Parts: sequence; C-alpha cells; structure tokens
Amino acid sequence: MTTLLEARNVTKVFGSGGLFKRKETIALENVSLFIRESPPSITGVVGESGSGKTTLVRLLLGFLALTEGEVLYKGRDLQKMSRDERLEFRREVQVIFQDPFEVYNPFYKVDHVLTTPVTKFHLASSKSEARKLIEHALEAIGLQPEETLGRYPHQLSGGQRQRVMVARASLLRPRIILADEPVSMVDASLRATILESLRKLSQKFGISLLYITHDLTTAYQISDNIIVLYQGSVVEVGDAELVIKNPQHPYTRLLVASIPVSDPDQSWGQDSTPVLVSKTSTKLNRGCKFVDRCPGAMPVCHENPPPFFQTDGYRAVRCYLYKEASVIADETMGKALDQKG
Amino acid sequence: MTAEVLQVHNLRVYYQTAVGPLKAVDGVTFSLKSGERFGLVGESGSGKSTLAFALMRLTKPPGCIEGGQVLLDGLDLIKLSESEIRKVRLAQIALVPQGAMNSLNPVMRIKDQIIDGIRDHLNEIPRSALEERVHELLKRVELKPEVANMFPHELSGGMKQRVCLAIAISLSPRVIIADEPTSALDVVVQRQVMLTLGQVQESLGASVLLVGHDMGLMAQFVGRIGVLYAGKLAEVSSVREVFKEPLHPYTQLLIACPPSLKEKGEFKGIPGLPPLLLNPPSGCAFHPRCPQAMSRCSVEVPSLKEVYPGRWVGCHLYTEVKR
Repeated sequence: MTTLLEARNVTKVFGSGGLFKRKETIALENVSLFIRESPPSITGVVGESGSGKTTLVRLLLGFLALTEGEVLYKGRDLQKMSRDERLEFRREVQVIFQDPFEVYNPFYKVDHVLTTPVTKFHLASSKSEARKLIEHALEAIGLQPEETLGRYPHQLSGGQRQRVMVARASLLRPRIILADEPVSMVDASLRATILESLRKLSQKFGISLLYITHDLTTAYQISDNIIVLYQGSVVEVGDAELVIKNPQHPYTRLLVASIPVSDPDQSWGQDSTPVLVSKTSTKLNRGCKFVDRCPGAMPVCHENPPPFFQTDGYRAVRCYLYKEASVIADETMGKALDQKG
Repeated sequence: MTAEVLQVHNLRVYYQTAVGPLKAVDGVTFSLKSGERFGLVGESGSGKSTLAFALMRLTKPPGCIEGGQVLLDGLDLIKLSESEIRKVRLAQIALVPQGAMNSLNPVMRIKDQIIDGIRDHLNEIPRSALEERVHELLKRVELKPEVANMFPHELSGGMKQRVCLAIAISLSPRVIIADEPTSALDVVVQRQVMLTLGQVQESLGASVLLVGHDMGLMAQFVGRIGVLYAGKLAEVSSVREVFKEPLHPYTQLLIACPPSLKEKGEFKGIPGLPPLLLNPPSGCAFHPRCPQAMSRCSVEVPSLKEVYPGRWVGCHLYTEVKR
C-alpha cells in the first residue's frame, strides 16, 4: 500500500496585527491525513466556517508555507521538490474551487480554461486532437460540447461553469482532485448533478477525491471516510457510515443533530446548545477546544488537549469520553484507519 | 379561522430589458394568516427574492411592479406613495436580509444601527428610552447587552444575523420577511438562529414569510409552503401534506432531490435547466423538464386550482375540487 498524499502533523499559524500588537491565529493545529494510492477513495472534510478547511486545501496544494509539519506527495516533501517533480505534482493533483464565478476571466471564452492545461502539459499533438480531448472530457460529465465551447463565462449558468471546472480537472487525468466546497454556490438540484459527476469521475478513472464541505449530508452521501474539523483540529475521523450514523465526539453529535430533516414530523435536534461565544482561538489552547460548548466537559478537558482514542476499527475520536479505548498517535491516525478496502 | 394579515393578488414584477420585459414574478396569489409561518421555495432565478422585495415595495429599476395587489391588513401597499410606504416598512412589515455579512454598516456601532430605524419612525423618543429598547431587543434575540457597543466586524456570522433580526423586530411588525436568513451560516448556527426567529415571532404574534431553497429547513420551520417556478406558484399546501404527497411534478422532484442521512444512494438532480425567463417555454414553464408532460402542457398555461381543500396546484394533471 503506497501513500499518494499525506499530511503529517500540519500546523499553520497566521500572524496579524501591527508591530507591537501582534496577534496570532491558529488556523490548523496538528492535522494529519492520508490518502492511499489505490483503490481510489473519497474523503470528506467537514467543519463550520473558520474551522480551517480552506487552509488545509491550500497547504495540501503548496500554496501556503507550513508553520510546522510536512506535506508529502508520493513520499516526497512538497517544499523540497525538484522542478520536474513539481510539474508532475501540479498535473496529478487538481483542484476545484468554491466559486464558479471568480475562477473565469470574463474576457476569455470558456475554452481558454480547457485549452491552457492541454498546451501547458503537452496533452495533444495537434489542434484537432486537443479538441477531441476536450470534447470527451465535457461529455464525460454530461455537458454538450457544442453548447459549451465557444461561449463566454457569463453565458453559462453557475452549475455549467462549475461542471466545466470539473471537466478541466479531469482533463489532466489527475490522481487526486481536491474539491473545496464545489457545490456550496449552486442549487440543490444542480448540487446533485455535480456531485454525481465527481463520483463517476472517481470511479471511472480511479481518481481519489478530497471533498471539503460544511454540508454533512452530501459528505455522507459521497465519502468513504470523513474527517471532522473543529477550530483547526481534527476531532473525529473514520468511516463515513460510523461517523454520521453513530457520531461520538460531542461536536459531531451537535452537527448531525442540527441538520434540518426533510420530514415535518421529525423534531429538529435536541434542546438548545449554548450559543457560541468564542471564534477562532488566538493562543494555543491548553485543554480541548470544544470545552466551552461541550455538554459533557470534565475537569481533565480543561487541562490537557485530548489525544486520539481509537474507538472502532475505522474510527478515532479526540475526546476524553472514550479514554478507555487505546490511544493512537496523530501521524499514524490516518494509516491506522486505512486498513480496510 | 384566523384572519389573513397579508394577501397577495396576482402580483406581477417585471424587469425591463432591451429585448422586452422579463417576467420575474408573473401573477402570484397567496395569503398569510396571522401568526403563520409560510415558506416560499424555488431554485435560483425562480423569482423568490424579487417577490420578497416587491412585498416591501423595495423593487429597484429596471425592476417594476407591473400590477396586482399586496394587502397588509386590507391596506394596498402598491398604491401607497413613497412617504406612506416608508411609514409601513419596518413598523408593519420588516425584512431579515439574506447576507447578514453585508447588511450592517461596518463603521456604526450595533446600537446605533438598531436605533436608526426606530428613530425614523418615532423621533420624539428620548435617547435613554432608546438605549433601553436596544437592550431589550438584544435580549430577545439572545445576544449579550455588550453587543450594543460593538462593531459588526467583532461579531460572528450568526451574531450578525441576530442583530439583523433585532432590527427587523424593533417596531413589532405584523409580518417578518426572512430572505434566506441562514444560507451563509453553518448548520449548528442555522438551527440556533431559526429557533430564535421562531420564538421571537411567536412572542410578537407576527407572521413569517421564509424564503429559501432548503426543503429540510422548510420542513422544520414552516406550516404552509408555496413552491415558485419561473415566477409562478406551482403548488401551495400545508408542509405536512407536501412532504407526504407532493402533487406538482416539480415539487415531487424537489422533494426527491436533497440527499438524506438515512441511506446512501445516487444523487438525483432535476433534469434539464431552469427556464430562461426572457423567453419562457410556451404553456406550462415546467413542461420541457416534466416527466409527466402531455401535449396540452406545451400549449396551455395551467392556472392555480384548489384540487383538494386547502391544496392549490398549477398543473394540468389535476382538476378542481368539486364543491
């Protein structure tokens, strides 16, 4: 079993403020994750706004420098790659961003975003071959090439534009696609279409997917594994079925209970949980980050940050409620959970 | 039977474009009972926000209210002059806007923003009484009194939305229009904000018109629902009946759409694309995407009929209830 993309104890601290009033924001703290080479898997990363989801994507892409830890692609450190290795990385790791409106240059036709990677990575030897490649990529995700090519971004709907981005990502036959909230800006009905095309892409071409979202329902539907982030830390990780059907961390429980169910006869969650007071933590927290909002907080929770407890074969929870279970180290967490399949 | 607070009759809102009018809201009729929670759903571009704004007479050019009536306790808001409608807004019909992030003035303290609206309506209230009012309003939306002296950037998204809610209820309106109030918030905060909205509405005895596209949220919050498609109402029913047995084919697809936590399955989207309102399909606007379309559907526009008591559907599959 070889690793494709791995993050080891990644920490990112953003500094802000002036010369004298320096303020530090911990966006991510000690996050590890692991995506194996084959078979392709879909990993969902869920968390509220400000939990560090987008920072994680940017670190994995090498867009941001790490404060601590390392990101490895096929065992090679992202920061120490040679030119050729970097080019390979850029080709094999593709990204889909949240906003299908901002990624296009309005002065170019949508063809531009599709032809650029073809030229840049020498995917075709002639114009007609390039055209054929692009048409195939569009058809694979259910777009009609003749209705899409030759148009300007404003002439396409949000859903179409986002699907063109999916086509662009698939064009390079990547090994992995990082999708950062790919459907949060489109309607429910289009959401389904885009996610279905991502899933098909993953199955058909063996592409692994990291699906970043705040929507637990779609994460559950599409993912094999789920990582729950809270204020920059992983609080629960494991098999999607286990995490959603039987959440163990109090935060995951709160998340699952807060989803409005499409059934008027089913009640909406338990009674009121404390209204959140704090936002992103500004200093390294001594205890558990969820302690202020946790209904089951114990003295130990204020003292030391909880380690990961492996509560099931395929699940680990960062919570002292499960201190009976065996402790696993952060960096092996991903691997420990990855025995199946 | 409670009285109807808001009655909307055949409301039409068009946007004037170079190639002709775009019918964003085209003959919408519904009513809101006193103390009722009514949901208005539809996909983007179905005209739901245009409709919400038109009810407040906030339609801006090139948009224009072409015709129809909006009766608030019998008073036709469409006929009022600009200065008369100003007195009605906030005092009797208030809006909770979609993007709480962008709705507050970044350089004004929260208390001043709340007072601003109250002052416009009741200008002879002394400052001390106003400050007291602000505290009471903040308490109502479950915010601490310290928030009064803060600026918007010091608040989280959920807290900002609560401030918007406090502004909306500052003069105890009869109707609160909430235009996707939680679409920018995560599920935990969404639930808290919606619970607060529900409590505040009940204590005021106001009616709420909730605009949105999240069927789950609708199922949990509203009593009756109106489904908007291409500027027309496709179905109006109690939410329980809609979820039990959706009648309009569009509603059926809309309910089948959101993935559930119960079981994994294929994602079901609604086939085809939303219609272009500039050049809408002939007959029923949904017929090109409708799995049950008949030849009649492409010719004749279906009218909204009461097919069962209290259930209104605009579709040729159903016939009017016999009385």
